[in-house]
Amino acid sequence: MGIYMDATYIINWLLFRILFMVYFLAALGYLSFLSTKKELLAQFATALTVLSFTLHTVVILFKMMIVRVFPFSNSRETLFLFTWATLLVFLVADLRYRIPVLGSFVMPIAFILIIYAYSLPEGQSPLPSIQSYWIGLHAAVAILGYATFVVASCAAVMYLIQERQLKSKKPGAFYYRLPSLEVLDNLSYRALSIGFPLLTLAIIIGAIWAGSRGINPLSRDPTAIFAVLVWLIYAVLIYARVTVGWRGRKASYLTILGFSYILISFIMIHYFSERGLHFF
Amino acid sequence: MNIIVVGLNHKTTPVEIREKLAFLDKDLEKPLLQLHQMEGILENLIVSTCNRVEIYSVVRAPEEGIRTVKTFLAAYHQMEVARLEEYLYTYEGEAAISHIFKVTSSLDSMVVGEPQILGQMKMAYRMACEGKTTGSLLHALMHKAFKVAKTIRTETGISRSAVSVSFAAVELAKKIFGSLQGKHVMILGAGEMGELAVRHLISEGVQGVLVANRTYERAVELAKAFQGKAVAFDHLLESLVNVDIVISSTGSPHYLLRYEDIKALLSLRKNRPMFLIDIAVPRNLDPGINQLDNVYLYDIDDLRAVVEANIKERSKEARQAEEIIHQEVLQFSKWLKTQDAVPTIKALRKKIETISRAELEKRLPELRNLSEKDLEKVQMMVNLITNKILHDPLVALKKLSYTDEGSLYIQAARKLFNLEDKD
Repeated sequence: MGIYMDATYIINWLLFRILFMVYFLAALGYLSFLSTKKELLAQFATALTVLSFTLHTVVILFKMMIVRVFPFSNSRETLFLFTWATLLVFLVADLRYRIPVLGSFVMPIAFILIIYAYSLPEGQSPLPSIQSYWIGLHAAVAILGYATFVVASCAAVMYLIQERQLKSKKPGAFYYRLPSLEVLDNLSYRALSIGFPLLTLAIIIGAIWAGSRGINPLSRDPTAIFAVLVWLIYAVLIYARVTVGWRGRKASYLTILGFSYILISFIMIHYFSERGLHFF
Repeated sequence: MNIIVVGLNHKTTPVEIREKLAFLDKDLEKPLLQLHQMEGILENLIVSTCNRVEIYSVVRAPEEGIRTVKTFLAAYHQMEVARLEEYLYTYEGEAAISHIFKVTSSLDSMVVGEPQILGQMKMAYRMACEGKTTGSLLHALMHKAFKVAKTIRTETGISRSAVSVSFAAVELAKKIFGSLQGKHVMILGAGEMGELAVRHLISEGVQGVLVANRTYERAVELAKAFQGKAVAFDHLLESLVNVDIVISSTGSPHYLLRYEDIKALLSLRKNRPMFLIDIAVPRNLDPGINQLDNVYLYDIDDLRAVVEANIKERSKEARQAEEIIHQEVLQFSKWLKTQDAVPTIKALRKKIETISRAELEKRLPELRNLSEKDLEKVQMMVNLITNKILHDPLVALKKLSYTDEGSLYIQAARKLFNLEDKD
C-alpha cells in the first residue's frame, strides 16, 4: 500500500509540473503572438492549449478515479476545475469564432488561476452532508457558467480597447491586432447568453438543495450572495440588450464588473465562509 | 559572370531628370539590343516606370560593365556621363540581387506594398525576352524575384492596410461592423472621394445606397449610378434610421447633422453602431457627435491620420519582408556559384595541385640520390603533366559557361572531380 501511495504521489507531482509548464508555454505563445503578429505563434499556442486541456482532463480523471479526490471537495480542487472549464469554453469559442488574440487574454488568466489554485492548501474533506449527487451537479453547472463569463469578460476587455482605438482615431498597436467591434460584441454576448441560464440553473439547484435541508442558502455565505449579485448584473445586461439593444462601452464595463465579483467570490470562499454552505 | 544594377529612382532623382532618362514601353527593343551588343554585356533588361529607370545586366566584369551601361545611358539620352552619375546608383553581385528582389516586392516603391510594380517588372522582363537580350541567369533571377514577391505579399502585411483615404474609410467600417454585407450607406452631396468610397463599400457587400442632395435631380442621377434611392434633403433625419454608414461631402457652410439629431436616432436604431465620414471642408457634421456611445465620426484629417498610421505599420511589416529577402538572396547566390565556372576552375586546379604536391612529397625520401637539378626537373615534369591534362577541360569549361548548357558542364566537372562546395 505504501509503495502504491508513493507511485501515485510521484505521478501526481510530475503531472502537475508538466501541466503548469504547458499552460505557461501556451500563455507565453499567445502573448508573443500579440506582440509580433506572427500567425505561426498563434497556431503553436493553440496546439499547446489543446494539449493543456487534454493533460488537465487526464489529471482530473486520474485524481477522481485513482486518488479518489472529489473535484469539488475543496477550494483548490474547485479552482482547478474552474480553470479546466475556462479552457473548455475558450477552445469552443476559438473553434466557432477563430479569434487567436482572445488567447492572449484568456490563457494568461488561466495560467494565473491554475498557479493560484496550486498555492491553496491540499484537500480537506468537506462536511459529509455536502457530498451528494445534487451538489456535484450544482457545482459543475455553476463552474461552467462562471467559465463562460471569463471568456465574455475577456471579449469585453478587447472590445473596450478596440473601441478606445476607434474613438481616439489614432490607430495603435491593438487596432491592428484586434478583430472588429461587431465580432467582439457578438462573442461577449453569446458567451453571456450561454452562461446566464447555466448560472440560473445552478442557483436554483443550490437553493432547492438548501431549502430541502431547512437551511437558508444566503445566510453568512459570501459565495452564494455574490452569485446572486453576479446573476443580477448579467440579468440586467441581457434584459437591456434584448429590449433596447443596449450595448457598447457601458455594457462592456458591466460585463467586466460581473466578472470581478466572480473573482472576489473565489477569494472569499477560502477566507470568509466558515459559517456558510460554501466552506472549503 | 556578374550581375549589376545601374539606375535611378524617385528617391535620388527629381522628376525633370527622370523623364529625360525614361524609356518608352513600346520602344524598348532598340535600346535593349543596342546595349546587348556592347562589349562585356552578356544579358540585359530595362525597367522604366514613372518612379524609376533601372538596367539589370549580366556582365563579364562588374566594374567594366557598370561603366559600359553608364556610357550607354548617357549616349542614348544624349546627356553627359558626369551629369548622370550624380543621380545614378549601382549595385553588383549579392547587393544587385538584393536590390532586384526588393524592387519587385515593392519594398523600394514610394508606397511600400503597392501592387503595380510587379506587373511592371513582368512587362520589362517580357520585353527583354522578346528582344532576346536575356539569358539563363536573368531568367533564373527574374523568376525567383517574382516568386519572392508573391511570398512576401502573402506572408507579410506590407500590402494589407489601406493607404488611400477612400480605402481607409472602408477598412474602418469593417473594424466597426465586421462584415459589411447588407449594411446601408447614405451619401450627402457628391464628389470624387465620397463616390469612390461608396463604390468600395458596395464591392464589400453594402446593399442599400441612399443619396441626398440639395438638388433633388442630382440625387436621382447619382442614385441611379449606384442602383440606390434618392432622398429629399428635408427628409434627411427620417431616412437615417436604417443607415449604418454616412458619407458627407457637401459645400454646406453649416452643420447638417448635430449631436442631438444622432442621439435621437440611436434609440430608434436600438443602439446599433453608426459610422459617419465627413470629408467636407468646412465640416458638415458636428464633431460632438463622436462623443456618443456606439457612434464613430471621422473627418478628412482623421482619415489621413489613419492612412499615415497604416503606412507606418506597413514599414514595420517591411522589416519582416527584408528578412525573407535576405534569406532568398543567400540561397540564390549559393546556387549562382554552382553556375559560375571560375570557382569551379579554381577548385579543380587547386585539387590537382594538392594531389601532385602530396605525391611528390611522399616520394621525396626515395629520390634522395637525385641531384638538386634532377629534383627540379622531376617537379617541372609533374607540373607540365598536370597542366596539360587540365588545359583542355578548363578552357572548355570557361567557354561553355557562357552558354545555356554551361551549368550542366560545371556541375558535371564538380561531380566528376568530386569538388566539394565548401561555402
